[in-house]
Amino acid sequence: MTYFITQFINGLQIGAIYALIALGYTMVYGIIKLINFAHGDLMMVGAYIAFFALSDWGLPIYLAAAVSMVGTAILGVVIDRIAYKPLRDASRLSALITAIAVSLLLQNACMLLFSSSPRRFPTVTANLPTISIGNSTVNVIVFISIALAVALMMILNLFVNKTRIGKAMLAVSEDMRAAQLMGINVDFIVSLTFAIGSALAAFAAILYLFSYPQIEPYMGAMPGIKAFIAAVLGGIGIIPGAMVGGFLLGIIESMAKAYIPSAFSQITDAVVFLVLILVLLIKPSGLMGKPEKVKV
Amino acid sequence: MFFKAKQSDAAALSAMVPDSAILEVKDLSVYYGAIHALKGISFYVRPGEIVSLIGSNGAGKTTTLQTISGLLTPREGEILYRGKVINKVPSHKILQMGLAQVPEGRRMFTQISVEDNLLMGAYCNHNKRQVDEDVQRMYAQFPRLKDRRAQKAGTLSGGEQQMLAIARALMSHPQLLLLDEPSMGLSPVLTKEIMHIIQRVASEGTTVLLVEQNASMALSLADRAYVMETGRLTISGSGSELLHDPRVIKAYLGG
Ligand SMILES: Nc1ncnc2c1ncn2[C@@H]1O[C@H](COP(=O)(O)OP(=O)(O)OP(=O)(O)O)[C@@H](O)[C@H]1O
Ligand SMILES: [Mg+2]
Repeated sequence: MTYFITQFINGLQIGAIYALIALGYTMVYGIIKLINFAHGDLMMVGAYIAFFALSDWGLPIYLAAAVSMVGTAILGVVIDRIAYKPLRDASRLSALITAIAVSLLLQNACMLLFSSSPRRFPTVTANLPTISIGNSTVNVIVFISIALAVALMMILNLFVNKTRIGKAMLAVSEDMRAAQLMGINVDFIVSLTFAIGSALAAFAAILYLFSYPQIEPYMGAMPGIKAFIAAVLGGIGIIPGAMVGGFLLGIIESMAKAYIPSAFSQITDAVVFLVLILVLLIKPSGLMGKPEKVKV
Repeated sequence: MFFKAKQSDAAALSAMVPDSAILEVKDLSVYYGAIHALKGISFYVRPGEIVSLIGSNGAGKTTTLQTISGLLTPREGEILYRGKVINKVPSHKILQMGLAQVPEGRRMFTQISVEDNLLMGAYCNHNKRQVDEDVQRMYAQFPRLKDRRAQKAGTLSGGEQQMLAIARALMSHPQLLLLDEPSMGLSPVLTKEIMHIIQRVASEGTTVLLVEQNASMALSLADRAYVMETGRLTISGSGSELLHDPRVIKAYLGG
């Protein structure tokens, strides 16, 4: 039983990370119907920024997190302005291919700049206590991570549903042209969406590094693709969907890791992709999604 | 009367634009790719008028309104709003200049509440007190919206959605209101109600440019009107003149 509980907590932790990254996918998709394949790589850039802020500039972790979030947000906005904005009226396929190109560009640029050899993220959790559950222990950082992620998501929810600009984001994602007729500056809303999504990815990167303290140019790929699956699982374009999908996927993955015999440990990642296939087969619009509206 | 518009062709009319026009459209040409949707149309609207634009499916009415609102860019021609060329002004700024549109098909934000839809209409107004007052004013004018203020807009009936679409546009205090087929899909009773609303809006000082397929409604409301056919304005005159024009009767009034 304690094994199950600790695995469940681990699942929540990785799920919180997936949820934060999934939010970026889903918010951007909601607004401009683009699957930003470079989103996982933005998380990777966030990790590098946090690394340099911590180890080279000697900033405390909370400031390093802030610097990383701001830096990644700016990068996200710049990428949209340069690479995606000119393609707003082009086919979705062109934009998708561009996103893949941006992903490769970010990975290769980081490889050139920082080399492919992994760097170790400084341990910021060394002095933190652990909590024992039965005969196993969980570091407090796990609980802190989950709490921070949940807090951030609650703030995002309040922002989107209660503020004027947040509601404008919902309006733009439902009907961009009608939103323009309300005097909403759509370019600003799109940039804001990229900024928020990218900052959340940077925050996720830091939470990720607490548990997997390795930084390398390809580190964004796997969490990126899993978060994308989480977004689809919850219903792409739907903000609460990304949160639910993220946690759910984290728990599924953690349970698969825990209960699939280690001889088959390679297939735990496959479980996650199986989830994607099942969702696409059974409810393509995702858990919280409505079936596609049929235009009459 | 400043001048009496006779039934005449569009070119002759554009030569007679009064200086006082709030909106003036000159030789406007709009394309969708290779499709030539507007083939050089010219018309004007004077302050305080209700001007109607009638025409059948695909004539180019929506294209005209979307171009005025800045959602489409004309290839040729000019749009002057209160004397300023607005062809290149982005649509969100056009609203701030006092030009609002009730789009075809209502285009509610279905996932947010009725009240939030009204608030979106006042997006550019930062004076919270005034916005609150405006919301109350809209509830007074459209009591059915008040009863449904917390409901998601997507749950409203077609008629209620049309009321909300008009109320939402009025939240920005427009000087010129563009309406795209507000009677679409509504019963005769509701169409009457919409007509009264448009009359009231006009009597309160908002200039109205009304696009309709329902010609009898649009012409009976209009001070002046234009007939649009496949991207051109073909007939124009006062509302009553067009109501009695044999060509209009034959083509649009089921005569
Ligand atoms: N997005 C688009 N892409 C290509 N062609 C378009 C587009 N929108 C409109 N058109 C074409 O432009 C022409 C004018 O269309 P528009 O929607 O302005 O007509 P309308 O007068 O508003 O018709 P309705 O009364 O049916 O609303 C039509 O031939 C239409 O097919
Ligand atoms: Mg139309």
